[in-house]
Order: sequence, then C-alpha cells, then structure tokens
Amino acid sequence: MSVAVTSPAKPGDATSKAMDQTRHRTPGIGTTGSTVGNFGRALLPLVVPVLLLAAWQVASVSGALPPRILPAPLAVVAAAKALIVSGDLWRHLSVSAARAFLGLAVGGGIGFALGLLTGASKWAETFLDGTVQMLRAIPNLALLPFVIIWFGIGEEAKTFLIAFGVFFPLYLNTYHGIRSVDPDLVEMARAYGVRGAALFWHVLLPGATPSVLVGLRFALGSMWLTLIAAEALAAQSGIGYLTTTAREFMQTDVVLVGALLYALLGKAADTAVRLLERVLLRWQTARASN
Amino acid sequence: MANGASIQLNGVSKAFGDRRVLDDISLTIAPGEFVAVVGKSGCGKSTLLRLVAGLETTTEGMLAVSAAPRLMFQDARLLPWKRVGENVALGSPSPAATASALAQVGLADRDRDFPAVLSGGQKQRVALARALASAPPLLLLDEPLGALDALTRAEMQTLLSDLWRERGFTALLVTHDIEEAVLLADRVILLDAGRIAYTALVTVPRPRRRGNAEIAALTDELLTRILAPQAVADFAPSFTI
Ligand SMILES: Nc1ncnc2c1ncn2[C@@H]1O[C@H](COP(=O)(O)OP(=O)(O)OP(=O)(O)O)[C@@H](O)[C@H]1O
Ligand SMILES: [Mg+2]
Repeated sequence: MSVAVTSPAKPGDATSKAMDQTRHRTPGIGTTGSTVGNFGRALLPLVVPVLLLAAWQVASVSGALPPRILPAPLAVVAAAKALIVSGDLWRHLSVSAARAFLGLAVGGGIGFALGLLTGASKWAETFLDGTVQMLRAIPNLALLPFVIIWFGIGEEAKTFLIAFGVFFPLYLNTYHGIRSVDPDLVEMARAYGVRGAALFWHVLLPGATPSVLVGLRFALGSMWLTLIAAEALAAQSGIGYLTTTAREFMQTDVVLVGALLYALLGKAADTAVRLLERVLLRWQTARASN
Repeated sequence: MANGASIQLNGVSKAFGDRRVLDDISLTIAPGEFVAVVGKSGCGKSTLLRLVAGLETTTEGMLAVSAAPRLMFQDARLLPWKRVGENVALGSPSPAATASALAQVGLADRDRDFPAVLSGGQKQRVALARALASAPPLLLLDEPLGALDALTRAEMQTLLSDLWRERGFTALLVTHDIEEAVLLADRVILLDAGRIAYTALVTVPRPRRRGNAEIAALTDELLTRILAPQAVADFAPSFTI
C-alpha cells in the first residue's frame, strides 16, 4: 500500500489535507472514499496507452495502416496465442533465455572472479588490471568478424559475444566494490583478528556486494543487446530465429511478438536482480523498512 | 586489580616521513590503571594509541604491552551487513560471552537488529560490548564518545567507569573532553606537539560527580595549561595597539 497516494484531496485544500492526516493515523476508518480515489489514480497512467492501442487498432482495421508496415494489436495477440498453443513460443523463449544466461554465467563469472582478485590483491591488480582496461575499449560486436572466423556462427559464437559483453561491467564493479570497502572497517576487523579468508568473506565481499549488483544490472543490459544482435545474425532456434523467419514471410505480427518476448525476458531478469538486492542488501534497507 | 595489562614506553618516537609526530615519550601504565590522554588536535594522541594497539610501528624507542588490547574508535565501526549480535561475536570467544556483553551495555534485546537502525549512542554501546566481550586486559579508546550528545555521553561515561571498576582492566583513553578525562582517569597526560607536557594525578574518590569542586578545579587547570602557550601568541596582538 502506497503512502504517497492517500486520498483524492486537492493540493492546497486545508481541510481535506487535515482529513488526510487523520486518515494516516487511523487506517481502516473512512477509507471507502480514498479506495475509490486510489483505484482511479492507479488507472490514470493507463489511459494514454489504451487510447494509443485503440487508435492503432482503428487505423489497422480501416486500412490506413497496412499490416506489412505494422500489424493490428489484435493480430499480434492472435499470433502470440497461436505460438503459445503450438508450444513454439515457450521453446524459442527458453532457448534464448538459456543462451543469454550461459553467456552471463561464463563472462560474468570470470569478470566477478577476476574483479575479486584484482580488488583484493595489489599484486594481481598490477599484473592484470591494465590489460583488462585496454580490452575494455573494444565493443564486443566489433569482434564479430573474428568471432565468426574462430567459432563459425554456432552457439559458441553467441556465448562468446555475450560473455565478452557482460565481463567488463561485472569485472569493473566488483573491483571497485572491493577497493571502496571502508578501510576503517578493514582495520577494525584486522585488529579483532579477522584475517585472510575470513576477512574476505565477512568484510570485503559483503562490502563490495552493492557495487557488484550495480555491475550485474549493467551486465544484463549488455547481455540482452548482444543476444538480440547475435540471434539476428544467425540462429536455428530462439526468439531471433522466430523473428527472422517471420520477417521472410512478412509475418509482422510474429516479429512484434518477438520484440515483446525480448522485453519480457529483460523485465524478468531485472525483477530477479531487484529481488536479489532485496535479499542481499537487507542491511542497507533495514532502516527504511522499520 | 590483577586483571589488567601493563604498558611501558621508553623514549618512544614516531615520525611519518619528515614529520616527527611523537617525540621521546616515556610512560609506564600499571595494570588496572585508567589513564587519559588530552591535548590539542594533531598533537599525536591517536598516533600514541595506535602505537600501543600495534596498528603503527615505533620509529625509535622501546614499547612493551603485556597483553593484546581491544580497541574502540570515535565511530563505532560496526560491520553494517552483520546484525548486532554478529558484530559483538567478532570480539567474543563464545555465544554466552556475546550475550552477556550485550546485556552489560543494556542492548540484550537488540541482537537481531542491523546497525543501521541503531542510534549513535547504541552503536557505540555495541562497539563497547564487542571490545569487552573477550574480557580483555587492556582497553584502548580513541575519543569513543566524541560524536555523542551530552546526555548520552554522560550515560556512557558512567557505564565505562562502572565496567572498568567491575572488571579491573587497564584503560587508555584519548579524549578532547578535559572534564571527561578528569572524571574517568587516575592520571591525565597532557600531550603537546608530540611530547608529554604535563601529568595530573586525579585522586578524587569514585564514584565521581560532575560539578565536584576538585574535578572542576583540575579541569580548569588542565584547560589553562593546554591553551597557555598558544594563548599568548594568538591573543597578544589583539590586546596591543
Ligand atoms: N598515517 C599518517 N601519515 C602521515 N601523517 C600522519 C599519519 N597519521 C597521523 N599523521 C600526522 O600526525 C599528527 C598527529 O596525528 P594524530 O592523529 O595522532 O593527532 P590527534 O592528536 O589524534 O588529533 P585529533 O585530536 O584531531 O584526533 C598529525 O599532524 C597528522 O597529520
Ligand atoms: Mg585523533
């Protein structure tokens, strides 16, 4: 329940503001009016999208917007339904998701591990960080010609491109996370006999976690973009394959379903990270939620 | 008072590069003694404490501390991602010792809380519990109450004094608050530009009370001594035409 949206009171109206405050203190009493208000306000942001969709549908049905340019919204729904019924939607969605997360696991895992290493060890930093920073300047898609030469156009190529793209955000943010752990805390821990592996697990890693999660968010952005590019290049299955074949047959409704599926995957991954943050960073939000 | 550690400094100096921060300090602290160090900002108080703590090494001289100390800083330095109980456990040999240390600082019911929800005074009490959980023979305190409001500070001073009298550990306290030094310590050492400029013995019996005439007089005297040399240099021009 949001606290910000409490009642339909107009701003500046002193009496209704006072009532508003009373309502704050006694939730459950006299809330009927504000529930209707809440409901109305919750619907308000939906007005414009619904109008746009309606106008779009009308334009499509009237023939002003030919389906080869943009399919009608209801046609997209029908295409999605057909794909769900045939089982194709789930199959392609899971292939794409698996591809993305394999790349994330490989590139992100290596980036995280190397970030921990260079963050925690001066020696590793001197030895490795310069090299990594140099490679960082290369956009992963610029390596496409090489990737094709090395791996062909199969799964390895896609995994490599995604892994290369997610490596840097995780590496950099892990490294900086470890480096920015409060040195006073480290000194305190050492003075209390916390050293070596214990210092890493109890002080450095938890201290770096907020930064690592920021890195993960950036990595996800890079992961989806790379996935879309890699699947557009060549694929025998996955959302990219679905849209490429649909395009060849001018099935714009299926192409649009593909775009929506990418959006869905992105949103799902983002929500997962949010949940992860809520669990791992509970100590940060403890104050706000109390 | 057999529970305390002893400290001995003999001609100890400390330099950071060219800057000599501590110069020829000789000081003996008996087991169970409560010693306070006062002096102007930058005179080397924290450096002295850090030397005793083993966080810095001496440049010259002999330093001997008979047992491992526990430390308390101006900021509580609690690990924000660990609950209160886990933070105290960092300095504690057993769960029972953790619980009893928390109870001693009056926070037995807060052990499942994260530090973020505690007040400044409560955080410092957790830090004190962490420092005392292992029943250390030596407690080093670097302005542990400096960031607290006057009321909480007075409360913490009483707590600290009571615990010290009960446990008999040796205490070395660095503070900006002269009255606090006089209230708590057996001996107040005035540091000036890295040297011991003055030592005051406080013989007022405990429990001591703020406003006690002897304490007020001693506080005044120390304050005058701290300000003395600079007062001439700073204020002289404004009194002459
Ligand atoms: N690691 C360091 N490197 C260089 N100089 C230092 C270092 N630590 C302390 N100093 C210098 O030593 C001097 C004394 O510092 P110290 O922290 O001991 O002062 P202090 O008496 O505790 O001051 P305050 O009351 O402000 O805390 C200062 O001039 C400070 O700049
Ligand atoms: Mg200091």
